[in-house]
Amino acid sequence: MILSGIAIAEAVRSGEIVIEPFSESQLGPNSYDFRLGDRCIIYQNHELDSHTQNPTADIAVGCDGLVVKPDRLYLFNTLEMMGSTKFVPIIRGRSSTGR
Amino acid sequence: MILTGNEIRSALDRGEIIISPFRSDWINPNSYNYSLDGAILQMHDNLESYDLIYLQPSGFTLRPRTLYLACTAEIIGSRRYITTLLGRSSLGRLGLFLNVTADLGHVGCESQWTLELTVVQPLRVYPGMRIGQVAFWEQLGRAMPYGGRYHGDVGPRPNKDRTLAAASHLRTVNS
Repeated sequence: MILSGIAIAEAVRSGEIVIEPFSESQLGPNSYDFRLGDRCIIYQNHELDSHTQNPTADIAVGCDGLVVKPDRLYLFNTLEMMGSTKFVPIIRGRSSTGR
Repeated sequence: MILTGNEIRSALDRGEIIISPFRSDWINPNSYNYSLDGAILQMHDNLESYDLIYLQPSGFTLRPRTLYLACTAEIIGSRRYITTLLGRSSLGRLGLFLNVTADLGHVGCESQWTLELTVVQPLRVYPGMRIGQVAFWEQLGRAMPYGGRYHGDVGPRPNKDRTLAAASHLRTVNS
Protein backbone atom coordinates (compact mmCIF):
# COMPACT_ATOMS: atom_id res chain seq x y z
CA MET A 1 0.00 0.00 0.00
CA ILE A 2 1.33 3.40 -0.93
CA LEU A 3 0.22 6.73 0.53
CA SER A 4 -1.43 9.42 -1.56
CA GLY A 5 0.03 12.90 -1.50
CA ILE A 6 -2.93 14.03 0.62
CA ALA A 7 -2.26 11.23 3.11
CA ILE A 8 1.43 12.21 3.22
CA ALA A 9 0.46 15.79 4.09
CA GLU A 10 -1.92 14.56 6.81
CA ALA A 11 0.77 12.31 8.27
CA VAL A 12 3.22 15.22 8.29
CA ARG A 13 0.65 17.29 10.20
CA SER A 14 -0.01 14.47 12.68
CA GLY A 15 3.73 13.85 13.19
CA GLU A 16 3.76 10.30 11.80
CA ILE A 17 6.02 11.52 8.99
CA VAL A 18 8.78 14.08 9.42
CA ILE A 19 9.71 16.24 6.41
CA GLU A 20 11.55 19.37 7.45
CA PRO A 21 11.30 21.87 5.82
CA PHE A 22 7.94 20.90 4.26
CA SER A 23 6.12 22.62 1.41
CA GLU A 24 2.78 21.42 0.03
CA SER A 25 3.92 22.55 -3.42
CA GLN A 26 6.42 19.63 -3.46
CA LEU A 27 3.71 16.99 -2.95
CA GLY A 28 3.06 14.58 -5.84
CA PRO A 29 0.08 12.24 -6.25
CA ASN A 30 1.96 9.50 -4.34
CA SER A 31 5.23 11.07 -3.24
CA TYR A 32 7.01 14.14 -2.01
CA ASP A 33 9.77 15.81 -4.06
CA PHE A 34 12.92 16.28 -2.01
CA ARG A 35 15.67 18.69 -2.89
CA LEU A 36 19.42 18.38 -3.31
CA GLY A 37 21.51 19.51 -0.37
CA ASP A 38 24.57 21.71 -0.85
CA ARG A 39 27.15 19.34 0.59
CA CYS A 40 28.88 16.77 -1.57
CA ILE A 41 31.64 14.24 -0.98
CA ILE A 42 33.67 12.15 -3.38
CA TYR A 43 36.12 9.31 -2.78
CA GLN A 44 39.81 10.13 -2.76
CA ASN A 45 40.77 6.80 -4.31
CA HIS A 46 39.47 5.70 -7.69
CA GLU A 47 39.43 2.03 -6.69
CA LEU A 48 37.13 1.26 -3.74
CA ASP A 49 37.00 -1.73 -1.42
CA SER A 50 33.78 -2.93 0.22
CA HIS A 51 35.73 -4.31 3.19
CA THR A 52 37.69 -1.19 4.15
CA GLN A 53 37.06 2.46 4.94
CA ASN A 54 37.39 4.49 1.76
CA PRO A 55 38.65 8.05 2.46
CA THR A 56 36.46 10.88 1.17
CA ALA A 57 36.90 14.56 0.37
CA ASP A 58 34.38 17.40 0.60
CA ILE A 59 33.46 19.32 -2.53
CA ALA A 60 32.04 22.81 -2.34
CA VAL A 61 28.86 23.29 -4.37
CA GLY A 62 28.34 26.94 -5.20
CA CYS A 63 25.30 28.83 -6.45
CA ASP A 64 26.45 28.22 -10.02
CA GLY A 65 26.09 24.48 -9.51
CA LEU A 66 28.37 21.49 -9.95
CA VAL A 67 28.90 19.52 -13.15
CA VAL A 68 28.86 15.82 -12.24
CA LYS A 69 31.05 13.71 -14.52
CA PRO A 70 30.71 10.08 -15.58
CA ASP A 71 32.82 7.37 -13.92
CA ARG A 72 32.83 9.14 -10.58
CA LEU A 73 30.52 8.70 -7.62
CA TYR A 74 29.10 11.75 -5.84
CA LEU A 75 27.35 11.53 -2.47
CA PHE A 76 24.92 14.30 -1.57
CA ASN A 77 22.41 14.68 1.21
CA THR A 78 18.77 15.62 0.85
CA LEU A 79 18.08 19.22 1.83
CA GLU A 80 15.18 17.97 3.95
CA MET A 81 15.33 15.93 7.14
CA MET A 82 12.95 13.02 6.46
CA GLY A 83 11.71 9.94 8.25
CA SER A 84 8.83 8.07 9.78
CA THR A 85 8.29 5.76 12.71
CA LYS A 86 5.17 4.31 11.04
CA PHE A 87 5.73 4.24 7.27
CA VAL A 88 8.57 2.71 5.24
CA PRO A 89 10.14 5.37 2.99
CA ILE A 90 11.33 4.65 -0.54
CA ILE A 91 13.79 7.11 -2.07
CA ARG A 92 13.28 7.53 -5.80
CA GLY A 93 14.57 9.75 -8.57
CA ARG A 94 12.37 11.96 -10.71
CA SER A 95 11.49 11.06 -14.27
CA SER A 96 12.49 14.52 -15.49
CA THR A 97 16.07 14.15 -14.25
CA GLY A 98 16.15 10.45 -15.14
CA ARG A 99 15.62 11.52 -18.77
CA MET B 1 1.76 -3.63 2.25
CA ILE B 2 5.39 -4.40 3.10
CA LEU B 3 6.21 -7.04 5.70
CA THR B 4 8.04 -6.20 8.89
CA GLY B 5 11.09 -8.19 9.87
CA ASN B 6 9.00 -9.91 12.54
CA GLU B 7 6.41 -10.92 9.94
CA ILE B 8 9.13 -12.22 7.60
CA ARG B 9 10.26 -14.44 10.47
CA SER B 10 6.71 -15.66 11.12
CA ALA B 11 6.15 -16.36 7.41
CA LEU B 12 9.36 -18.41 7.38
CA ASP B 13 8.05 -20.45 10.30
CA ARG B 14 4.73 -20.94 8.46
CA GLY B 15 6.57 -22.02 5.32
CA GLU B 16 5.18 -19.11 3.30
CA ILE B 17 8.63 -17.65 2.71
CA ILE B 18 11.75 -19.62 1.88
CA ILE B 19 15.21 -18.25 2.68
CA SER B 20 17.89 -20.92 2.72
CA PRO B 21 20.31 -20.74 4.41
CA PHE B 22 18.73 -18.35 6.92
CA ARG B 23 20.37 -16.30 9.68
CA SER B 24 18.14 -14.57 12.20
CA ASP B 25 20.68 -11.74 12.67
CA TRP B 26 20.25 -10.69 9.01
CA ILE B 27 16.63 -9.61 9.50
CA ASN B 28 16.07 -5.85 9.13
CA PRO B 29 13.00 -3.79 10.15
CA ASN B 30 11.40 -4.44 6.72
CA SER B 31 13.75 -6.74 4.83
CA TYR B 32 16.29 -9.56 5.01
CA ASN B 33 19.93 -9.21 3.96
CA TYR B 34 21.19 -11.64 1.36
CA SER B 35 24.74 -12.49 0.41
CA LEU B 36 26.81 -12.75 -2.77
CA ASP B 37 27.41 -16.22 -4.17
CA GLY B 38 30.91 -17.18 -5.24
CA ALA B 39 30.37 -17.35 -9.01
CA ILE B 40 29.95 -14.29 -11.24
CA LEU B 41 29.44 -13.95 -14.99
CA GLN B 42 31.40 -11.07 -16.47
CA MET B 43 29.43 -10.28 -19.60
CA HIS B 44 31.24 -9.43 -22.81
CA ASP B 45 30.28 -6.33 -24.77
CA ASN B 46 28.05 -8.39 -27.07
CA LEU B 47 26.02 -9.43 -23.98
CA GLU B 48 25.95 -12.98 -25.33
CA SER B 49 29.18 -14.53 -24.14
CA TYR B 50 30.84 -14.15 -20.79
CA ASP B 51 33.64 -15.17 -18.49
CA LEU B 52 32.73 -17.29 -15.47
CA ILE B 53 34.63 -15.99 -12.47
CA TYR B 54 34.98 -17.84 -9.19
CA LEU B 55 35.50 -15.34 -6.39
CA GLN B 56 38.41 -16.07 -4.10
CA PRO B 57 38.40 -15.07 -0.41
CA SER B 58 40.80 -12.25 -1.36
CA GLY B 59 37.98 -10.73 -3.44
CA PHE B 60 37.48 -9.53 -7.00
CA THR B 61 37.41 -6.00 -8.39
CA LEU B 62 34.34 -5.10 -10.43
CA ARG B 63 35.12 -2.62 -13.22
CA PRO B 64 32.96 0.23 -14.54
CA ARG B 65 31.23 -0.07 -17.91
CA THR B 66 30.91 -3.82 -17.46
CA LEU B 67 27.81 -5.83 -16.61
CA TYR B 68 28.23 -8.60 -14.08
CA LEU B 69 25.60 -11.24 -13.40
CA ALA B 70 25.96 -12.64 -9.92
CA CYS B 71 23.43 -14.37 -7.71
CA THR B 72 22.26 -14.61 -4.16
CA ALA B 73 23.95 -17.32 -2.12
CA GLU B 74 20.51 -18.00 -0.64
CA ILE B 75 17.51 -19.65 -2.26
CA ILE B 76 14.76 -17.05 -1.75
CA GLY B 77 11.11 -17.06 -2.66
CA SER B 78 7.52 -17.11 -1.59
CA ARG B 79 4.29 -18.57 -2.90
CA ARG B 80 2.30 -15.91 -1.09
CA TYR B 81 4.35 -12.72 -1.01
CA ILE B 82 5.99 -10.65 -3.75
CA THR B 83 9.72 -10.14 -3.44
CA THR B 84 11.66 -7.02 -4.35
CA LEU B 85 15.41 -7.25 -4.56
CA LEU B 86 17.08 -4.14 -3.27
CA GLY B 87 20.63 -3.06 -2.75
CA ARG B 88 22.08 -1.94 0.54
CA SER B 89 22.64 1.70 1.25
CA SER B 90 26.17 1.04 2.50
CA LEU B 91 27.14 -0.42 -0.88
CA GLY B 92 25.11 2.07 -2.89
CA ARG B 93 27.32 4.69 -1.27
CA LEU B 94 30.27 2.90 -2.86
CA GLY B 95 28.64 3.14 -6.28
CA LEU B 96 27.38 -0.44 -6.55
CA PHE B 97 24.12 -0.55 -8.52
CA LEU B 98 22.08 -3.72 -8.21
CA ASN B 99 18.98 -4.71 -10.22
CA VAL B 100 18.21 -1.09 -11.05
CA THR B 101 15.57 -1.65 -13.69
CA ALA B 102 14.12 -4.99 -12.62
CA ASP B 103 13.81 -5.37 -8.88
CA LEU B 104 10.38 -6.97 -8.92
CA GLY B 105 10.25 -10.68 -8.24
CA HIS B 106 7.17 -12.72 -9.02
CA VAL B 107 5.16 -14.59 -6.48
CA GLY B 108 5.91 -18.31 -6.64
CA CYS B 109 9.47 -17.96 -7.91
CA GLU B 110 11.94 -19.67 -5.59
CA SER B 111 15.55 -19.59 -6.70
CA GLN B 112 18.98 -18.17 -6.27
CA TRP B 113 18.14 -14.73 -7.66
CA THR B 114 20.35 -13.35 -10.37
CA LEU B 115 21.87 -9.98 -9.47
CA GLU B 116 22.64 -7.45 -12.20
CA LEU B 117 25.68 -5.57 -10.92
CA THR B 118 27.32 -2.45 -12.26
CA VAL B 119 29.73 -0.06 -10.55
CA VAL B 120 30.56 3.62 -11.03
CA GLN B 121 34.15 3.27 -9.85
CA PRO B 122 36.16 0.04 -9.50
CA LEU B 123 34.94 -1.83 -6.41
CA ARG B 124 36.38 -4.90 -4.72
CA VAL B 125 33.75 -7.42 -3.60
CA TYR B 126 34.03 -10.66 -1.66
CA PRO B 127 32.16 -13.99 -1.78
CA GLY B 128 29.59 -14.32 0.97
CA MET B 129 29.44 -10.60 1.71
CA ARG B 130 26.05 -9.08 2.50
CA ILE B 131 25.30 -7.44 -0.82
CA GLY B 132 21.59 -6.63 -0.79
CA GLN B 133 18.26 -6.96 0.94
CA VAL B 134 14.99 -8.55 -0.07
CA ALA B 135 11.63 -7.12 0.92
CA PHE B 136 8.32 -8.99 0.83
CA TRP B 137 4.94 -7.49 -0.05
CA GLU B 138 1.36 -8.62 0.31
CA GLN B 139 -0.46 -8.58 -3.02
CA LEU B 140 -3.92 -7.16 -3.64
CA GLY B 141 -6.26 -9.28 -5.75
CA ARG B 142 -6.45 -12.90 -6.80
CA ALA B 143 -3.01 -14.39 -7.44
CA MET B 144 -1.89 -15.33 -10.95
CA PRO B 145 0.32 -18.40 -11.31
CA TYR B 146 3.97 -17.66 -12.09
CA GLY B 147 5.10 -18.78 -15.54
CA GLY B 148 8.28 -20.18 -14.09
CA ARG B 149 10.85 -18.76 -16.51
CA TYR B 150 13.46 -18.27 -13.81
CA HIS B 151 11.94 -20.51 -11.13
CA GLY B 152 14.43 -22.90 -9.58
CA ASP B 153 17.47 -21.09 -10.95
CA VAL B 154 20.78 -22.12 -9.44
CA GLY B 155 23.69 -19.79 -10.05
CA PRO B 156 23.63 -16.57 -12.11
CA ARG B 157 21.44 -16.91 -15.20
CA PRO B 158 21.81 -14.81 -18.34
CA ASN B 159 18.83 -13.57 -20.33
CA LYS B 160 16.61 -16.41 -21.56
CA ASP B 161 14.96 -14.43 -24.36
CA ARG B 162 17.38 -15.48 -27.06
CA THR B 163 19.94 -18.10 -27.85
CA LEU B 164 22.91 -17.57 -25.67
CA ALA B 165 26.54 -18.20 -26.17
CA ALA B 166 27.77 -21.54 -27.23
CA ALA B 167 29.90 -23.26 -24.65
CA SER B 168 32.99 -22.31 -26.62
CA HIS B 169 32.39 -18.67 -25.70
CA LEU B 170 32.44 -19.40 -22.01
CA ARG B 171 35.78 -18.86 -20.35
CA THR B 172 36.48 -19.67 -16.75
CA VAL B 173 38.63 -17.15 -14.94
CA ASN B 174 39.87 -17.31 -11.40
CA SER B 175 39.92 -13.86 -9.85
